[in-house]
Amino acid sequence: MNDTVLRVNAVNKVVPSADDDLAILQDISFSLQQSQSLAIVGPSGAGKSTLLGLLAGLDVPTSGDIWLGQHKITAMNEEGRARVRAELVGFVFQTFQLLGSLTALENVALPMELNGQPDAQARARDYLQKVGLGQRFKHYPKQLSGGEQQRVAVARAFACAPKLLFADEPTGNLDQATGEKISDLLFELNQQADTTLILVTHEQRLADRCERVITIDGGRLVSSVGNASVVGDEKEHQDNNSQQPAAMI
Amino acid sequence: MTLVDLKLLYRDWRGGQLNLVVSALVLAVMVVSAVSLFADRVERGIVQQISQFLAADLAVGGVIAIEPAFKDQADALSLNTARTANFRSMVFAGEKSHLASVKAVSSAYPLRGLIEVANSVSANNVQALSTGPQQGEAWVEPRLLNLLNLELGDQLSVGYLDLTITHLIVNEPDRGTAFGAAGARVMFNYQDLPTTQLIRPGSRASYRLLLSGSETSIAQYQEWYRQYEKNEVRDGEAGGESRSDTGLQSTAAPHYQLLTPQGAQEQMGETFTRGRAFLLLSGTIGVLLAGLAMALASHRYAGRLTDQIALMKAWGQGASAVRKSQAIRLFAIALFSTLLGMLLGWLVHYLLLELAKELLNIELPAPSWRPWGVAALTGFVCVIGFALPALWHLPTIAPLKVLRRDLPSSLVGHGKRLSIGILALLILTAWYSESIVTAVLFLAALFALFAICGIVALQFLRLAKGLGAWQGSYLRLGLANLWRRRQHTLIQLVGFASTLMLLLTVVGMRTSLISEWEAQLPSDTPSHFLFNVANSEVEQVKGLLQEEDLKTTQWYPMVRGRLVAINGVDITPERLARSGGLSREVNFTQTDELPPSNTITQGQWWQQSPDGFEFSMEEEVASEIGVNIGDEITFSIGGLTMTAKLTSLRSVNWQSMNPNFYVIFYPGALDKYQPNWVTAVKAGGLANNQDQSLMYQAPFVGKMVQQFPTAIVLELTDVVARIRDVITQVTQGLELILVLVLACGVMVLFASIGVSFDERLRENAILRTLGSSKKVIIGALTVEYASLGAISGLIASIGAEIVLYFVQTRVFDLSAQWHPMLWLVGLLLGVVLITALGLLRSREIITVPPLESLRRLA
Repeated sequence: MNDTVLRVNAVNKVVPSADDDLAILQDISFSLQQSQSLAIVGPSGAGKSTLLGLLAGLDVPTSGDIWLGQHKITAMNEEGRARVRAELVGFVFQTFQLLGSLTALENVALPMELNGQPDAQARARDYLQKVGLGQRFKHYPKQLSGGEQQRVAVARAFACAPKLLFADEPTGNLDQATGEKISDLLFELNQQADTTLILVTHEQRLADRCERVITIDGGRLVSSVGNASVVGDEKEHQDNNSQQPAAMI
Repeated sequence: MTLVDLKLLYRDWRGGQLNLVVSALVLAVMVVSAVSLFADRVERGIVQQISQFLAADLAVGGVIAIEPAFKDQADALSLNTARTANFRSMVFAGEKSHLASVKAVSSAYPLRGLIEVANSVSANNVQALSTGPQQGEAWVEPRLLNLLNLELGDQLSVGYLDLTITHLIVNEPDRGTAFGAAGARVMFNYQDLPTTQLIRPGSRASYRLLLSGSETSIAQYQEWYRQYEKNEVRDGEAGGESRSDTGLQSTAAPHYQLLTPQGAQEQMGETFTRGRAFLLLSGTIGVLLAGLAMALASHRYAGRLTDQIALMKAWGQGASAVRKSQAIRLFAIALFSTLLGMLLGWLVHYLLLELAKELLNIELPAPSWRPWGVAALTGFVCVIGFALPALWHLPTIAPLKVLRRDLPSSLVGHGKRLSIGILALLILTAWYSESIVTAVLFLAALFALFAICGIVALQFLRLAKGLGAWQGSYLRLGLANLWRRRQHTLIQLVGFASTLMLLLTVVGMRTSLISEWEAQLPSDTPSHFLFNVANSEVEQVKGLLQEEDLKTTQWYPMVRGRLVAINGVDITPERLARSGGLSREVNFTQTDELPPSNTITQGQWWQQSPDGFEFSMEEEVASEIGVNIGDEITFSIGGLTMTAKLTSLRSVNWQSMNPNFYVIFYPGALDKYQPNWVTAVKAGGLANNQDQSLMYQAPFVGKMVQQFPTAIVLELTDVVARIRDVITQVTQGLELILVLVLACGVMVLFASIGVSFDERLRENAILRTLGSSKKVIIGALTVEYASLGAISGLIASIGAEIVLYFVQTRVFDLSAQWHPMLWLVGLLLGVVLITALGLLRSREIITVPPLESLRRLA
């Protein structure tokens, strides 16, 4: 377990609602090794994005523990978690989250600039070349297609050389062909950079490309395929739900 | 991080997100710096002149000739002395005459400073001389040559004195406050003064004994003068006319004052603090509107920054780093906008100076630090008060917002933001006016005005909404939009309408009031006043006027004097200062007939010969200084005192343009003071002369000055023209400030459209997608903005008309009159301006294809 990069132990997330407290996530436990890829799948409203937010340290669970690398982020305050995110984490979002007033190059360079990285511009150029947008440095997001925008977002995420990359429905806003290309790019770069990839997706094809797939339903982890360790049930395990067609996930 | 922050700021600016915040701030700072630079330079120019104004270290000033004891004391202290006498008189050359500002100076004048003279009108070889004119010489202001068609070396008559014009005066050290003296300056030697025969008892002149010397002697003289004043009070309390140990006849004291540069500066300082405060308070409306625009624009800017901040936090920036980044960016915005605003304000203040240049015929020094301080404070307080509250929540945005955009942001509440904004305004207003009370009252009045405008505007909006329900597609759409966004509509309406109202009021005053006043004067209104007619000349002047077939009002004997005691108790300067009318030397008359346009309101006009002296007083000044029927008042006239009983109070119709007096004595009371006579003459129409050339002179004036050189003929057309000039220049300056304030109103419009921009973009994209034509969209927007403009214009016109009504009826005592032109201008200005600017700001809503709009907002 030395190169375990993500460890989740008995995580619960409860939010208050009008009638009663609502359990969004219940007793989630698993761990992930460095360089593995993990897909979190499940129906809408299952709690996938909530789990992603918790794993990335963007939110805190009601109970349970999460380790990112050697950092127990559930024991940290927001400033501490921010430091861990700055050190380890990158993101790709369904809605791309590019800043409209920045060019493609500036968008990619921004997180590195914020971290005071001296070669931000050069790295940004390099990664834009890698995603095939070498000619589009000075273009603004509104001048780019959806696929191109997501490529910029992917370049931005990898340029920071994160240990863990969290992707929330990275192909969700794209047509199938473009989605395929983005997913190719994502896995290709992931392999090159030796990054641990955690993505939330509805797309079975995308999930299938991951080494590990966990399924969340009704806030519970109902299946884990591949060798993601499920804490408390160390054996690889697969239940009937994981056999459901993609449409059901 | 700083460089990255500045980079981010630059990118925000490039993306157009900061345009409005910066423009509004620049405008606010520009208005304030223009106004305060103008006020500061004028104030410093005048104060600088005052510091030289004595042409001496010290002076004794008086409205009666300076008694010898003052000079004796100066001689005893080995001080240098010089004498001057200032008065207005007719000067003439051939047929032409001019009511000049005459100054007789003794040979030693000036004791300090130099007189600058030139030898031709165009020459720039200005010489600075340390002595004034020799006997027989007249030094004149260049404009007199044009007025009287003269050249250097020509003869000029002043009273019975003939002089040769030898120099043209460019500047003189004690020119005074120089608010463009109405008459051109004529200076001659003091020894020539008796020959003019202009100065007689009752003549209106001001005398000065100038003093200079060592600091010790000057201080000793000041101490001696203080002693003299004290003795005067003590003797006054004793109630007798006596000579004090200073050797002066004590009752003359009220007519004298010791003039020091410091004292004059203090006095002018107060006047200017008020003037500056007034100008800056008009600027405050601009700051308020700009602040409103900034608040709205910052709100939108904050919305735009939300994603950026959420991302920054997701990438590992802590709240404190984000807060620091925000602070750096805001500081940079404040610094840049303030500096730009100051620069533009510097340019605009030249426009204000240009408008006022005839009024302020003075050299202007560089401004002090104060206007820059005021401008900088305005910039930074505006940022803190209006922009910061809208952005305050940004560092607290949860990083999770990158995944869940629906997460609420903990915005600073409306009430809190409003309170911070008002507090910022209060700080600025108090700083501008140097009085917290003025600031509170001013803001309260301003908000009351806004509230009234808001209530009226809401009614108009309801009306428009009702109207829209019955109309076709784009009319209904446009009017419905107006109502649906009524909160923003109201903000725009109130900002625009109140500024436009002030602008219309000022324009109305400039363009209509004087003309209306002239038009409503009765046809027998006098056109000329005759002053300074000696007792011996009255019959001859009457004869001349009869020959010319000119009618006059009653002739009144006139002396100048002041009130010194009420029921045996000296009047304190404070009590006297309560009355604008009586605080200085005033004209007294005596007559047995109650003058026309006077009505007795209390007591009785004298019926028969009274036992002692009796007098009647104008009711307003009587109530100001607090005297009643039966009070015994002591007057000092030319250094002699007399006591009389108040037996009646009168109301006076000052509009009658007849000679009117605050104090009228029972006939005989003033005989021993050798009064001069005054009357008003009807010679041609008053109103009709306004377009005629300045050189025009009623035919009898020439004969008058030829035959009676010491008499003064005052042409009312000149006076009215002068008032008109002053009003025009003052109102034009105000109009310029208000135009800038209106520009701040435009910012509110822009910012307000900005707030609803995305919503409008989405709605119009949906409408277009559903098949509405571009024409319908443009039509609806046009209807919306045009209605907004029409309502603003209407409210502004109503408000301006109400203000003008009160000015007409209460200030000018005129019958009320409509100003249809004002309504037309108000409506047109409102509709055209708001429609044009509104459509300009909304052009993206119209031109961006619907698909792109929807994608952009996805």
